Amino acid sequence: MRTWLVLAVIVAQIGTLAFMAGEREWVVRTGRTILLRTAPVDPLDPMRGAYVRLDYEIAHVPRALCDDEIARWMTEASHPGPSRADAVVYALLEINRVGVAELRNLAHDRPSGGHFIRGRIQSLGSDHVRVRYGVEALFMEQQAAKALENAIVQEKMGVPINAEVAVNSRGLGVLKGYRWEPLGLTITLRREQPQREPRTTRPTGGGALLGLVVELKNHSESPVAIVDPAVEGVLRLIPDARRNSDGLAWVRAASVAADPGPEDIIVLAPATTRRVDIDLRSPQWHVFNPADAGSRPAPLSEFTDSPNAWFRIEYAPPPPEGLPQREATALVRHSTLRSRAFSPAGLID
Amino acid sequence: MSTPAAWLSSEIDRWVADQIITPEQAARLHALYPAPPTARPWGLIVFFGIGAVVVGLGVVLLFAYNWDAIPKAGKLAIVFASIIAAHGSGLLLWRQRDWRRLLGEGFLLLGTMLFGAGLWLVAQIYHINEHFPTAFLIWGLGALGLAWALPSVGQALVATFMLTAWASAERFAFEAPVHAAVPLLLATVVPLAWRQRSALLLAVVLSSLYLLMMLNVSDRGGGSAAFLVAFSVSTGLLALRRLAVPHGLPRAMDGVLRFFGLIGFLLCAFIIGFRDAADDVLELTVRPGRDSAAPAVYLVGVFAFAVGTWILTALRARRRSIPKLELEEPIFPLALVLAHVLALTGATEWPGLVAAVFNLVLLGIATAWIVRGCREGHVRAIILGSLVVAATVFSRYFDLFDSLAARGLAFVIFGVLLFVEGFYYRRLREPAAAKGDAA
Repeated sequence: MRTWLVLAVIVAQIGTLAFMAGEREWVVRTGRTILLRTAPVDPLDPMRGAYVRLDYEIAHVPRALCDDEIARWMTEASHPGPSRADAVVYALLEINRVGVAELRNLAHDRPSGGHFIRGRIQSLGSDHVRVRYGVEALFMEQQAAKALENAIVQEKMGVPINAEVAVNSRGLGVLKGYRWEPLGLTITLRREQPQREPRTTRPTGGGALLGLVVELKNHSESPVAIVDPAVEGVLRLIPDARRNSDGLAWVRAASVAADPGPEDIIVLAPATTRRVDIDLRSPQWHVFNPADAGSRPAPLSEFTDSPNAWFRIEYAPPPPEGLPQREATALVRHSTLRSRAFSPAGLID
Repeated sequence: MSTPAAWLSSEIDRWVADQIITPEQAARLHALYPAPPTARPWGLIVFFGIGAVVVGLGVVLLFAYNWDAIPKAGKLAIVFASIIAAHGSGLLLWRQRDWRRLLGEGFLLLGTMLFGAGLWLVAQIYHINEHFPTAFLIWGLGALGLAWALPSVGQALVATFMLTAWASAERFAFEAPVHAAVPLLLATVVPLAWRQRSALLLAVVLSSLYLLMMLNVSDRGGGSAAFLVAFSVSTGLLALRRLAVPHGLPRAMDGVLRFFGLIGFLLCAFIIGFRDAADDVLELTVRPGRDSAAPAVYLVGVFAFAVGTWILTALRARRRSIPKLELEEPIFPLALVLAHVLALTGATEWPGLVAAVFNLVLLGIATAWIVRGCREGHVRAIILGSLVVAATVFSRYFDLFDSLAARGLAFVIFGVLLFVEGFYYRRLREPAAAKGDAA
């Protein structure tokens, strides 16, 4: 009798592992594969070894994209009450032109159809929610993780990673691998020269942001076309979703889309770069506070006292129907790219 | 073979070889001192065990080095094959009646460890980044199942460690205390420790219970609530051991209960013997929010346990079903009640008075031990009492005595006390020594 009991527990142990592996293997084999845009951070897990931690764009959800029930949780979050940490939510996704899944809406109950992935609430704020989808760790051998980390900060700087995730009908996601975006976007800040004390070399202040040099580089092994970033409307100044509680906004946030001509479709050969200089002092790049009736548009450099005003440059090529028809248009990569976040005080993330 | 029997057996053979005794005499001596039938080949077990561990480590390192190159199916095969091999071998050996049963338990323990490792390896293979404390919970429950099925102290130790890791990870990484962990350990591991009469398991699970209760209650109740919980548990354990001894509590387990009870109580009393600490530690406040009722549940529960066991002990001592209470024993529950009254009534307005009272508590207990030790010839009680007095006096040296004169006087008094102690001990032992000489 006791032998059967011991055997039953052993079978339960092996069965638990088999279920854990089997469920995920089933998702990998039969689930839909989607691409999720990431921004990696890199730690070491003592129990599971080296891994690259992936931070997804869909993990940071503004209030506007949450359903009413989640919005209510966000309102209640500042008061004592039941904790919503680990509450199950579902991110409804829309696949864009380059096959990357973008967040359409965050719901508290499971959708009946469409693309979606199941997550759990990690933290709730009054204006945004952070969600964990269980696919934030890409485990690899330590040398490979180191090589990936080096690539992210050096030769592949500014190149987004797209995670391949298999998702089943209940929204369970399993990370399968990753792919690099063909294009990378980097920025270099142009700052004011810092003031120095007389007879010393110690800076006393200054360094406010005057402009940016934006570079688009083709990191793939085949030619990729871009819409010239110098064309008005192709580059946009967007507030950082996680750190812009000062409420500043770009004056041209609601402007008309770009209208490039045939000469504005540029084919980048592998490893070539297109560079454009932006003067943030010019009126087209001014910012203001829409919630303040007395706020007037001004250059970013005048907002150095706003510690919670962070922005990104976004490269957003027009849709195919908005481009002139020429041979190179077929090579245009219709992928939105975002730079690292930067502040009016000349700090960069 | 036991050591003396083994030695005699080899010597008998040598005597025969040296013609000191005849072979017939040797046979009679062998028959008179036979080797125990169930002797364990410890040498074989130790070398086999060490060899197996070293080989296993080598295999693990080889796999780890080539892990990335091994396909997913291969990795899963390695994980499952190792668990099945360990558990399978363990089960087959465990079913034997002799020393192989012990070896089987060892393999089953290895199987449980591989099960835990398997959880993390499968997570790595499939890049799973779910709520990681759940892995410790599953691991612990797997070990707990075998701990009861076999039964096995080793499996229970693994279960205790993993369930503690689970609850601690929830508390620290997610600020979500798991209150269910405490009754889970109480209901599953403590009875197993009693059933197996294992002092080691009892010590480990008590450590875990202290840790988890203090961690959980401090989430809303702060350090003061954690202090009071520890104080209550320690006081309760001192009574529990008195109640359990008539029910066959083994000496080793009695020692564990007494150790945790005394150390916990003395430490708590020592802490609030400092004026500043008394002010901080007895200031009970509850942080509002989720689970704000939890501190009250813990505090009331353990206080009721402590006071209840002492009332029961006093009643049974009065009925003489257990030995009568010693001189210092009523001080334990009274000090506990006093600490709670002070914490609840906000009597920390007089921290100096509070500290003085608990210093007297310590000195009272220490004096009772010294007197009893001198009277009954228990050197350990005298030493323990003297150490408590010394610790109290030295700590007052730093925080209470403002002048060198006062400090000097305190040392003189303490020194005189030690002399008196020695004289009193000698005087009381003289009749016993004289009796011994006469015999």
